Amino acid sequence: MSAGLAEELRAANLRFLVRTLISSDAHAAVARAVETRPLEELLTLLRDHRLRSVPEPSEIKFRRQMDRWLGDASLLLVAWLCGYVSNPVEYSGLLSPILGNDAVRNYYESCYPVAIPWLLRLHLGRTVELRSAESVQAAGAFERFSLIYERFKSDRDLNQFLDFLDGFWYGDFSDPIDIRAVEKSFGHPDRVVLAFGRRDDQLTRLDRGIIGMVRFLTFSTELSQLLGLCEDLTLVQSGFWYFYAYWFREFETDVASASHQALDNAVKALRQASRVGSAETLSIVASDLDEWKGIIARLTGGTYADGILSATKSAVEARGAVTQGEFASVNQFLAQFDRYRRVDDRQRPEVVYGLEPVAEAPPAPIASRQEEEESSESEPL
Amino acid sequence: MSTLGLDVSPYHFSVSSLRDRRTKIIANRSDPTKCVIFVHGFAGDALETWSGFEGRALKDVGFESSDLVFFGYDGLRSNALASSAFLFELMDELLTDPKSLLSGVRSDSPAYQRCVVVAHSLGAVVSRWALLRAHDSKRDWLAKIRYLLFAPAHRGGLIVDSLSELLGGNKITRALGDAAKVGIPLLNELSADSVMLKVLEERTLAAVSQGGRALLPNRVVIAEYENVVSNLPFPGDPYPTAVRDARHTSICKPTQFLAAIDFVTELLK
Repeated sequence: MSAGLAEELRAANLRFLVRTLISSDAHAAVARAVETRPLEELLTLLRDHRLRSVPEPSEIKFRRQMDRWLGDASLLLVAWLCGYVSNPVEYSGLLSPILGNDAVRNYYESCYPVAIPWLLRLHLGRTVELRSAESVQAAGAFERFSLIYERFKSDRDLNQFLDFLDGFWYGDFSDPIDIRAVEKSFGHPDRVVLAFGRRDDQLTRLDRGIIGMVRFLTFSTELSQLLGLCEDLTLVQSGFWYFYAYWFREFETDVASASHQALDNAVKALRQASRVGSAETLSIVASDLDEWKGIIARLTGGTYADGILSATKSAVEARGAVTQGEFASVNQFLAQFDRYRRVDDRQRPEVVYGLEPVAEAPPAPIASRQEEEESSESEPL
Repeated sequence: MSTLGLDVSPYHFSVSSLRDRRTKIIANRSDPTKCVIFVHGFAGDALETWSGFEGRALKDVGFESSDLVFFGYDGLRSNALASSAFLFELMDELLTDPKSLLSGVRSDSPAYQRCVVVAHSLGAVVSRWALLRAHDSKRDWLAKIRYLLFAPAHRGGLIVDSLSELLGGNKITRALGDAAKVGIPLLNELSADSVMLKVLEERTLAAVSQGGRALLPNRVVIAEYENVVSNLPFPGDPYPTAVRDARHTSICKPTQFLAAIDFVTELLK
């Protein structure tokens, strides 16, 4: 086992990541909002769109900046788990006022539960201090992870697809362009290729969603490869997965099984039409499809969920006394993400997460999944 | 633990974004005097095209004093000249006063002393227009430029049936692309008789005759199995270096051809 990065390097890496975070426009917007806006206003701004839709462009813009800030800040915890940076607790004065803000917490803990910022808040408060890897390989894994993240966040088509996954819809309420429309398009290979061939000024939301789903497929494959390389780094592997777990949950809920069917249909259509290459090419495509189904099954099935949960529980137990508030916060975290584990794992009686029994909150009432940015979209088809 | 091929970079920080968010930088840990600007081709993104330059190449001592900048633009759908304008602005800022642009990665950044522009496929067209503009605008920094092209598309002759190779990504996407044999609009812009390419050629030759040697690449690298672009040399360019077993999309990837690293580092010396 290698010893990991020198402390001096880790400290320099931390300063670098913090510099990139605070120099972003997302940080400027979020920090200013947290400092100047009344809590009630922030709570409204960062509300659950399923309870009250978010049609206002300025609201959508701020929520995107919030998402970006949470992602960039979460990198600090992932980097810590990988042993790439020194302890980010050093910057709790900068980060905690934002992560601990009640409206921001409500956003990432209740409305759209995301594990890593939540865990970062607990880490900065020294409630849960997960161990940092002592391995140059783990630090290298972070560099690889950051490449995937940079591509993920700057891909406009992928982000359109994620918007669809998150409930965005466009156009007429009776026939919306939404995640179902994207999924259905995959039953028509020509429609998929049409999306790829359009000029930018002809691209519709649906085109971008279609291209974005292919990008999601590519992204999932790359992440899966990295997770495979990190098999011996359980906590790092789990941290990487939790960084994106929200999207895999949404994908599982909305699209996964249907997308398998849609891609199956596409491959069958190609086979019947015999418009492509040789039988050998088609069998390669079919095997790719099988491989992709396996990847999605692992990414959506909770295979990687245990590492963070068991480490969190152990860290708090090892620490001993915690305040009532900390206790509740950790338990809430464990209860929230326990459901991300594999069904089989959840049924194993010897593994019980949670420091004390907590009642699971009833699911939030789901209004119509509508979060619209524009009232209509014209389809040039 | 087994070797996972995940060793950390000795000279650089992890990747981050520049102002436009599409352009990425792998910033040097010290105060670099040189930079490499990578310009991808049709369907690539800022990083994927150069697979290996963001990983194993970073261990090469040849990059120890350099920042690596991966210019991002929409190769499939944008207009090549518009993309060249963005690239020109990026180069102009990096080579005159990059302090503001690089404020997210370090507190002070003097202008680089050397810049290697490395372009693949359509990136050759985009970068040649950007350098031509620098010449026409009498930018002093042209003297700092070294220029390397991989499988350049500056002679047009694109084979539309090769769309599947351009789409990349995965075999499913490529098969879907093949099925419809769609013509991507930009490919028309780069046909063999493209006016845009003809004007580029004429103006480059005129600029070179006026002393603009920086517009000519130091090296052109072509693939043995090129099935997307014409390998016909651009007038005035050096005779190309061919790489055995390489294809259009693999030739610029150190993950597939380690020699790609040497072609870049020799220009940083």
